[in-house]
Amino acid sequence: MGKFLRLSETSNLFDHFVIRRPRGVKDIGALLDAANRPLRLRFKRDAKTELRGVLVQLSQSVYLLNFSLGFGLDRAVQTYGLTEQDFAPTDLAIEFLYILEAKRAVTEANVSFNRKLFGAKLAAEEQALTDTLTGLKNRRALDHTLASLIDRGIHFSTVQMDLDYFKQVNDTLGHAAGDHVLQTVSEILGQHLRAQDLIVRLGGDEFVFILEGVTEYDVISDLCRRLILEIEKPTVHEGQDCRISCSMGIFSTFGQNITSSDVLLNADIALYHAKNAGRGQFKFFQTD
Amino acid sequence: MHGLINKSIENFTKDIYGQAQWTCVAQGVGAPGLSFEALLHYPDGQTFDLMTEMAKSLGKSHQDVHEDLGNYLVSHANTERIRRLLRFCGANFQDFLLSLDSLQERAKLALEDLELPQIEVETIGSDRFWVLVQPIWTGFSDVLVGMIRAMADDYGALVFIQRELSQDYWDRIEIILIDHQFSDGKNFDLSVS
Repeated sequence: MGKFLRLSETSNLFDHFVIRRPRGVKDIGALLDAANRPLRLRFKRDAKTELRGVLVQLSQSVYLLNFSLGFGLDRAVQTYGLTEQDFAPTDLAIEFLYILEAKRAVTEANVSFNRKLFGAKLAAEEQALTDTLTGLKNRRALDHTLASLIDRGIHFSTVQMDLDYFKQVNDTLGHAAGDHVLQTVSEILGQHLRAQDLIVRLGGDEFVFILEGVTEYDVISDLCRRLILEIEKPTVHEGQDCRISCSMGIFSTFGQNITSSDVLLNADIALYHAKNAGRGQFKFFQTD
Repeated sequence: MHGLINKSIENFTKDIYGQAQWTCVAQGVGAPGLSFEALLHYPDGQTFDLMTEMAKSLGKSHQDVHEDLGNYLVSHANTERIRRLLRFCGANFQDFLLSLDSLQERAKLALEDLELPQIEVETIGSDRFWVLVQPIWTGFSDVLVGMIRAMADDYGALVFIQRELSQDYWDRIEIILIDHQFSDGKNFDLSVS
């Protein structure tokens, strides 16, 4: 401590120190009254470095004010450029700084590890909602979304889509061609639907998409017409043309109280009518 | 074995020899795509297998690979944290050397579940020391030799170090401190923000 502070015989303690606790210790008399009690003090010209101290009586007129750095040790070391030589060999300052630094290193490792785990968890959850062949969402995601939309009373339309003549492609050109067709269909859907529309592959050649906030007859009809046109364009797989079409059934919900299974059922009924009417077309659900 | 040890070996391999070498080592121990987490624990045998695979694929002796690892842990830019925590052990190289017999406790203060082998330091002459190492981890005393040599450099001391075969069951490292302040060494501030 003598490194940066030298009191002359005529200087007043209170020219250099401020006693913060106990309160109101502003002169020697008050300080003597506070002898043997823990003190919190600071240098007058450094409000940020907290010191701890105690005043003990050594003899009739000699007192010792013993003070040291507390939790402010780290800051004081930086502020005053303290080195090991500045501390008594019995002082735990170096051990304190070691533990502080070790703690920082371990905390950093912990934070980074937890971030990694959380990322892995998110990725795993994402996997659980995805169809691995096409990258579209799966039935689990569909159930979540339907439940959420119904719960929040949001208007939406559900489109059930089956591919027509898909089985023939699989049977005549093989499963690789079938996979290729499914991936192409997924791309088409992705290109024509909005980011907020959920696209699901239920398995086989069955797809469902949810149009959030869209219930207008004209808008949906346009969309379905465009999709059928795109899907009917033949694609090539290993030099062979793959031709399919699709049928769609649409059911719109207007915030009413309805179950997810009823929503899907109604869209399915509409799909059935589309297939019955000759395929390659779309039908809206009608209560008749 | 604490993951920190295995992770250090992984980082050493990648930092000094590159990702390709690590891939090779991982395949060699039958675990392609292997990567360690510093805070987890792993089977002991794996650590030994890694170092054996390293020695084999680099065409070096076990001793050399372990010493290189020890040197890396102190002197590489990516291991500054470890170097700093070791510098806390002593204001000069001799103090650091003498503090090695509490390295086990110091390591525990930082990571409670990290159990390093015991070390004892004996002063056998003026500037002559024996560092005795409990041989529970194969190769650890070679790693320690690499570390001590690098720390001497860090403090600016000139030393002669020799590892001897086990005497009375413990490994023995002889250190002769030729010059306490041969060079300025590297700077070390007690606190960095």
